[in-house]
Parts: sequence; structure tokens; C-alpha cells
Amino acid sequence: MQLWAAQLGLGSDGTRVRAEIMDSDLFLAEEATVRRRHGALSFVLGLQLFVDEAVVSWSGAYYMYPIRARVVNIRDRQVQWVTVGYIPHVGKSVARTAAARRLASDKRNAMLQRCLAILLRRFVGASQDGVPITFPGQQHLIAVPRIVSLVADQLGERAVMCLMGNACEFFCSHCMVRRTVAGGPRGVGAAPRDVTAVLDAQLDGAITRDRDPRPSLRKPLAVEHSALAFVPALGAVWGLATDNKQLFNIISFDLLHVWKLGVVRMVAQRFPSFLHAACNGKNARLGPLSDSLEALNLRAWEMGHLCVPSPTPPGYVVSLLLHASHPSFRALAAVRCTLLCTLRNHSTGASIPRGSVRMY
Amino acid sequence: MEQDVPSHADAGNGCWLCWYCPRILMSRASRSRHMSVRHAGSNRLVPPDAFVELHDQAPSSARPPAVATGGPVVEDADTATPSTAPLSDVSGDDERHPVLGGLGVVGVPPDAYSTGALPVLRRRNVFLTSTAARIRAYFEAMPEASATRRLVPPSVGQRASRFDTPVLREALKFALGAGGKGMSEADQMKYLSVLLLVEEGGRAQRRRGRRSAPRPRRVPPPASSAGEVLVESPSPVDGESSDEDAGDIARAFPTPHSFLAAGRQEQRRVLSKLCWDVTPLEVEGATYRFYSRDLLLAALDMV
Repeated sequence: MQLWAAQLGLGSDGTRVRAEIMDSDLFLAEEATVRRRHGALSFVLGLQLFVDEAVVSWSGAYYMYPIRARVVNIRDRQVQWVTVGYIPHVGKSVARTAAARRLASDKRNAMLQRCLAILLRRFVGASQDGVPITFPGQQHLIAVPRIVSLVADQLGERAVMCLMGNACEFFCSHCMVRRTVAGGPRGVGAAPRDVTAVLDAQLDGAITRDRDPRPSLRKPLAVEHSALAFVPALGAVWGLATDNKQLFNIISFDLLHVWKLGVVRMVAQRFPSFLHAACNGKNARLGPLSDSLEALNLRAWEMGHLCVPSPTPPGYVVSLLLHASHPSFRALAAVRCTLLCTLRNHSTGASIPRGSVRMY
Repeated sequence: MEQDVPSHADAGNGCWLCWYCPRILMSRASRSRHMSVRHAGSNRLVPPDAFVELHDQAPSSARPPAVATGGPVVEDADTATPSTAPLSDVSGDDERHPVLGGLGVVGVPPDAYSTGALPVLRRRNVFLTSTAARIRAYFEAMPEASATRRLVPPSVGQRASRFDTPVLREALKFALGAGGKGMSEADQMKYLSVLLLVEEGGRAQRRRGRRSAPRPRRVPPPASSAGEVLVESPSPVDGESSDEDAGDIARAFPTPHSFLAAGRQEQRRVLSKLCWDVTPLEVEGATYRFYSRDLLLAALDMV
């Protein structure tokens, strides 16, 4: 257990060396603010939150996904994530109308924020006042809880912050770079998002939406901020919308999660070429390339409908690969293992972030 | 503007306690107005029998009874800064949680929703212009704010666990975690049957091993007691009762159904001990149930 951040060391080239999230600028700034406000005997109780709708689980009765938390002050080697809530999953609309889609989207966004608000009820008050703690044999200290990191993929990040999806004009959660200039030299100097302005607009939009759900009233919010007419519950936590206004700076990503998704994507991109070579002769079990692709697509569609949390790999993929007698299958055994492990971990929700990284 | 005051400042003559709730107000008019709004159905002409004005109470009993659980709220500001409030006074109003056993003493602010009053750990500077305060107020106004209930009653968490040996704990862990989501109830019963058979097999093997051991010799009769019935000296192993011979699992769960029921009880006990809550949420006409722990308590528990 480490209460206060240690002094940053210097590397061989004179740069500051950071090893943990407690060495980050965000944590150091919050610590300075907390000790200035609550006295020298106070410390920041930093929390990381992990939200990922991809690890949704179905128990037969409930369809929900977990939200996990971790205290960054605990500095043992075993990173401990604790599940603190299960958010009900709201599926897509069955009807393919704009009104039905909007209703389902509103339901999903409102559900997430209201669940977060329930989760944070005491935390919000404590982030402002602190919690007195007396460690055995030590003097009285004040723990001031702070959210220092939100680990989520981009969809989760935009949902928690009540921002529109990644197809909107201002698709970056940190800055106001426009879609047309992002990635180019003109997008480098984009202004950061104004936390207070966005939250105020979202709060006004949410109050308006509660009274009148017409989508036309939400247009200005979408045009100006690419934001939804919901207010993020995290904004009530002290330090995120006050003082240093770190609301958008806490967004982090899970390196393992990104890596795994990247592996799936890379394998999927190379799979057609591989199939082209594998199905070239008459040895392919499912026939020529077009038939094999159709069979694969059918299996993928079935997997999307039948996917339940299970540690066992999808049997049809295994049988498909194992029954093929082409020699190149043996050479790709390692790729297959990687793919299966990735699918397995991803489908079982075992992707607990063990190496969450934030770039400072 | 509604603000809290430190609890050690509530015994002054300018404080008027509400007759029906722990709220403290700065004037009689404020109290009358408060009671007309919040306690419109109650008698506002005559105070209840047991009621004593705040300034008439003894110093030791100046704090209203509900302060220890909820804390009063005063509709005016105070000038003390948070950092100057003494810690000993601050921790006096705190709610002690047995789950936070790793720490010495932890003062967790009481839940405003369950007590009907805002926490009064120390004075809070609530700025009406603060975006954070507005967001907090927005969510506090939601209908589910006071609908959170404990998923399992707290008394269940105080019971002793029936899985009190390492073997039983490992068996339960395997039954509930095998395959990622645990065994089905039917599989759990089969699993216990297998465990009982294994235990029985181990006992049978021990018995066979004992049979193969040399039989105890008969004690030769003393010369003076010739003619008496010879008695085989009892073996200490053979003299054990069947209960003592049974293994841990067979002793604790003689039937598969008892294992199943005990597993359910253990789940409820742990859920109660970890303070899991359930909140019904009505969103766009549909009702959902949100299962959660209090984030602050969970964080302090981790520490």
C-alpha cells in the first residue's frame, strides 16, 4: 500500500522515469490539489474503473456486463480487479425504424449513467470530503477517493462520457479535432475539450430530453460537441469536473484488450489469402474457396447468435481446421492456437486488464 | 442554499431541531416551514412527548438520536474550513463497517439515501454554480435514488460458514467455478456423489489395510482367573464410531441435496458480507435490476 506518490527518478538522458500510474501527471496533480485542500495528512485513494460491454455474460436469466474497479495505491504484483456491479445489457431494437433505434439507444445510455450514478453515490460525497482512516498504530489520515483512470474501448469510452459514436464530427474524446482534418498536420493543434462547457450543455440537454424527447431538440448538442443528451455520472466526482477537470484525461485503454482485438483483426485480414491457397486443390473439406467462405460466414453468423460464456473453444472452428488435410494447416498451428486463445478469452470475459496503460 | 454544518456546532441556541426528523434549522420559522413541507401529515402544533429542544438537552446528549446514523442538515452556511475540522470530531459520526477489517478505523460517510439526510461528515461547500453539484443533484432526483436495497439481509452474513475446512472450501470453489460459470445444480449433486464415493473408497482401503495387519493377540488369562471368558482386547481403530470414521465431506453433507442447499446458503452469506445491493431501475418503460456494491466501501475493503 503506497499512500503518496514517490519522487520521480531521472533517466540517463535526464528525462523523468515513470513506472506506475501513481507516477502520472494526473495523479500528481490530484495529489497536490487534495493535500492543499485537506491538509498534509491526506492522500489520494486512486481508483481505476473498467467497463467493457464486450464481456457481457448471460446467466440464463440476466444479460449483463460487469464493471470492475481497482485501487492503484495497492502496489503488490498481483493486480486485483474487483467486480463492483453488473449493468443490464440493453439490446438493439428489433424494429428497424429510426424511432425504435433511438428508443433503444436512449434506453442504453440512460441505463449506463443511472447505474454509474448508483455506484458512485457515496463515492461522490467522499471525493469531496474525504474519508478519515486510522491505520493500526498510525495517526489519523484522510483518504480522498479519486477516479484516476477509466479503462474502456472506444465504444465504452464514448458511452461513459455520453458522447456520440466514432462516426461523428468530433470523434476524439480529448480534443475538438474535426473528422476531416484528423490525422493530418491541420489536426495537430486542435483545442482540448472544455469539460465545463460540455457538461453544462449535456446537463441542459438531459433536462430538456426528460421533458421532451424529440430528437430535433438535441441537434445543437450534437453539432457543437458531438455529445448526447445525457449527462455523465462521472462528472459528479470531485476532481473530474472541478479543480483540475480531469474528466476526459482519465480515459485509458487496456493494452491487452487492444492487442487481442488487433490479433483477431490481423488474422481475419489474412484469412482469405490463406483460404485461397488452402482451397486450391481438391483436398478442402468444404469444397472450393467460395463454398468454404460461405460455410465460414454461416458459422460466424451462428456463433454470433449462439455465443455463450464458455472456456471451451468453439468446436466447429476447431473441427474445421483440424479436419482439413492440407499441409499448410500444420504450418499454421501456431496461428490457430493464437486465434482460439483470443476467441476464448474474449468470449469468456477473461480479458481483465492486467496491463492497463495510459500514455502521458 | 442548503448546506451542512459540522456536527460539533449543532448544540448552539440558534439551532432548532425538527420534531420528526434529525434535520436542524436555524430559526423557528424555518422549522415550521420545513415541517409544513416535509411532515405535512404530522401534528405541528404540539411536539411529540419525547421531544426535547436542542438547547435544553444536556451537552452529552445534545446530538439528536438520528445523527449517529444520518446526520443533520442545516439550511445555512458555516465558516469552518474542512481542513481545520478535528479528525476526532469528524470520525465520531461515522458509520463503522465490519467488512473493512484490514484497516484500523474507517469512517465512511453515511448513505444519504437510506437515511433521508445528506451526509454531514464535515461542512461541505456546495456551490450552486458547480457543475459537479448540479450533476449530483440531477441524479439524486432520480426515482431509483431511494430504491436501493440489500440483496441479502445483513443477518445472513453474520452466520458461520458451513464450508469451514480446506477440503470443503475447495470443493465449493470447484463446483461454483468449474467451466468458468460453474456447474449446474444437477452436476453439483453428481459431483458430491463422486466425492462421497472417493471418500468411501479411501475408507474401505484403510479398512482393508487394517485387516491385512496382524490380528491382536489374545491376552493370556492370569493363572488366578482360570475359567473366565477370554476377551479380545479391543483395537482402538475398530472401536471408532462410524461418524468419526466418515470424512469431512460425508460428515458435512451426507446427501447431495444438502450440498446444494449449503452452496446456495454460502452464496447468500458472501453476497451479504460483501454488501451487494439491488436497485430496480425503470428506464423508458422497462424495469431492470442493477446489482452493485458501493464503490467506496469496495475500495476501502480492497485497501
